[in-house]
Amino acid sequence: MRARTHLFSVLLSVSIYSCSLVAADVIFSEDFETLDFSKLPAGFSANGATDLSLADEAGKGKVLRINGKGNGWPSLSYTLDLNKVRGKKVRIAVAAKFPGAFTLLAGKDWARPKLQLVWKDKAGKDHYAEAVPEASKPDWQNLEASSLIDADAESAAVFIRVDLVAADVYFDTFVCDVDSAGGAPATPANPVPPANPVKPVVANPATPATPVKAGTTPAKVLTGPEAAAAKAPKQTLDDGGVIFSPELALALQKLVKPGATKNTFALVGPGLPIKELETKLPEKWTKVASTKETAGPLAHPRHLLAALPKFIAENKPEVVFIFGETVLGSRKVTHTEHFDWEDLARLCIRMGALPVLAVPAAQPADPKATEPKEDLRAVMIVAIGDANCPAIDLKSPSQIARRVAMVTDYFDKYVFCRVEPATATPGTVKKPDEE
Amino acid sequence: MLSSVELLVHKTKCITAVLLLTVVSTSLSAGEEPPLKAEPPGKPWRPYPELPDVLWYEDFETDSKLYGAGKIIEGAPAYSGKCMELGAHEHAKHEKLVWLEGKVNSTPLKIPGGLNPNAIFIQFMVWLEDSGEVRIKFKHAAGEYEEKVPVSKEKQWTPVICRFSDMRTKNGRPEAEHIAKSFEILFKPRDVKAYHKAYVDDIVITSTVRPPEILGALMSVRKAVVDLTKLPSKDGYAYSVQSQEVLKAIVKANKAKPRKPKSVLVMGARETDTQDLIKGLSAAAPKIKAMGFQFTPSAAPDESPAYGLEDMRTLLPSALLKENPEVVFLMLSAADALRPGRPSESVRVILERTLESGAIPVVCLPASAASLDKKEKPKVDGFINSVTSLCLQMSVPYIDAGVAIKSAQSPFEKIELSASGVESVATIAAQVFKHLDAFLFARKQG
Repeated sequence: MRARTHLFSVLLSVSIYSCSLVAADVIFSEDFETLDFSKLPAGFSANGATDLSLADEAGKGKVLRINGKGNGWPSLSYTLDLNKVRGKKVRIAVAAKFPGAFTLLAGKDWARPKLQLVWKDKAGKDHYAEAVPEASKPDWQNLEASSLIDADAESAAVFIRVDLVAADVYFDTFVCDVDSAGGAPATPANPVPPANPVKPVVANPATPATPVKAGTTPAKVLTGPEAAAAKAPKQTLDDGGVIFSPELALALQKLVKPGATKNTFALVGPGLPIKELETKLPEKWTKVASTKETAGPLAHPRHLLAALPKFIAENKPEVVFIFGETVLGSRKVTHTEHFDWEDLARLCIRMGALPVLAVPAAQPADPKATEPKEDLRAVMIVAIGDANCPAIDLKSPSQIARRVAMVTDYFDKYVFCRVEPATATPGTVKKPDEE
Repeated sequence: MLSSVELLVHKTKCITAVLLLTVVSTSLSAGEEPPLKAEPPGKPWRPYPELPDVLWYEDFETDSKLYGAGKIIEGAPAYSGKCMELGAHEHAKHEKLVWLEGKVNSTPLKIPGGLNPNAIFIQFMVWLEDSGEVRIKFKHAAGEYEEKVPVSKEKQWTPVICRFSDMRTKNGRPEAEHIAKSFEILFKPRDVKAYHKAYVDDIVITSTVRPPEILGALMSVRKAVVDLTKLPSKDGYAYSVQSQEVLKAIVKANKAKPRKPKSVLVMGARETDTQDLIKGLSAAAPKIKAMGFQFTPSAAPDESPAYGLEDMRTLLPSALLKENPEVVFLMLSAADALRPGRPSESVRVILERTLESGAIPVVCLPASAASLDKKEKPKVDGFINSVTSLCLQMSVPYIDAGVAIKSAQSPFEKIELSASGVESVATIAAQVFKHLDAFLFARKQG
């Protein structure tokens, strides 16, 4: 779980640092794993402590929960040392999850959950930089905001808070850093007017973070495999039914090991067989015959972990598609199952094959259930993020074969670089024609 | 360190959890619905299931958290080992009362809990600086009752025995349906001008039989527990009653697919560690008459060596399937501790999978080298603490490499163990495997 938290923190940091391409000093990085409200770390303070608690979150360990009742300003804040931030650009980030909703108060648009940086100038005027989580989103969202603090600022503090509304929000990996070089970056990527709110940056946790934002790509002429990877389309499960991106293509290129049989793939996992898939396999690619230990109901993650290495060693597929179950049947998803899927992807890489996780649709909620159940889709999405591997969505059965073919095509073009990629704008989403 | 009663409380919880896990995983892997039928009520909890007449036993040899007010001391006046010195009672200063409290409700024991109070006996030894009156008090949800026993012998160990039904208050007497929350042993000296030392040892509560009739059997069971228990600080590795019971349940649950007897799969932190460990184990085992063990290095199916935390997560399940070992020796390193994220979570997953497979994991914790820098040391120490807690929670035996290498010359190579450090670990590991062979797998040692 911590691995995932760390990855997320790394992604956040990468995304923050890449804004300016200048060095930064971390002021604090709080992951809430050992936070004790009775002994808060130096600089931190809590307001409305009865609304603040720590919660266990699958894949993240401990997270901060602010369950605002609508009658106050519950918050966790950090008072910045002015000597460290005066005249510098301060950036803050947090992961937030806001699965519930809240009612906007008339005339008080500011009353809501938020990540906030507040500093007071010499004249006593408050300046704000903030980011707000989207409500009714079950996924984690990355929020970040930044502001250039005046050289003679009077005070500065950062908050995660729920102001005046009833809202139940979860936070993790609360980070604050400052440009160590001092002053505004020479070429700020996203110049943020200090006093204005910053629009939240919401990332799908399933999508590997983009390390370099639009407009900040270094002026470097890419050649060879790097150039091919840069042409890869950027797709997500929600937008195209496939997780792929130029960054992912580049990362996969580095994982390719010699020894695999060119243009062969394997279909494994408990989600097989899928009849729509068997008849329309990708052209130019050869499927390796699976066994009952590697495909079908017996091949649930723990069994597959034991059976897959030998299978890969014997068959040497170049790519392995690992299918989660569309219908779980009596099997229950455990709270540590994301490790199993992550390790399946990692072991493919260890054994010289590139993994693709095939993610089933979310299971319908059981109205009789008394406790929230782990959902395989959510679990696999966490694993995809942790293993940083491509994925396909199994939501529409009629599209599965097309998505498998699409991914093998991407591998040919952008990872193995066997086929010249068509001229395409880097990072664009290739819209599926059927959705 | 847990007391004898605490050990058994924890043991019961662990066994229940593991058995539940085993039942659920077995039924689910077979594609069946989990059993919905309620189990018939089990036997009442007893600290030593093999001695159902013993309701409580405490010899204070381990630091128990089940007692309040007094403090455990080692040495005189105890004959050997430890005893409890009673503490001053805050609310009875005028009487100069000293006392101890036993937290019965911190255990699953129900007393009388349906038993006939007339058939319950309480016995303990007292050593008093001054003669006086010893009181035994039991508190339950609706009240309390006590018995007063005069003790005239000073400065020597004297047994005190009373029947549960003899306790009284103005308002009542023990009823079978009462459930005690706690008991107290109090001492009021004859001379109430000053506090006088009072010590208690060997508290025994029995039903049906009088404590003296069962003490012999109790001592024998207790000795077996002491023989079985291994402490990292003293022995270099940890093994306990709860480890034994939990692991036994796992071995029993996997009886249908027996594993290769005396086979140990060895997975080092580095490639060289595995080779050094096997070399060290092969040399150390015969010296302690641990005969017939087979030590196999872990490898990937493509014959490449498998080692380190990453391979433990990805390749251990397949190695377990291929080698079918009885025991898996997993050596962790400082490099594992310094991995990004929370590497102890990886250890948890590895142990969970290994236990689920029916093999017994033995973990070697990393040692904290003096050459670790300021940033590294807290991480390595934190990892050692986390993995220790994990092993205790999951009842997994572990070796404390820091203790194992104490007598080794130049045990470190930068921040990792040197070949001589690994050899020292192998010496302790051989003892662990022999111990498991004797106690867990119950094989005769020749």
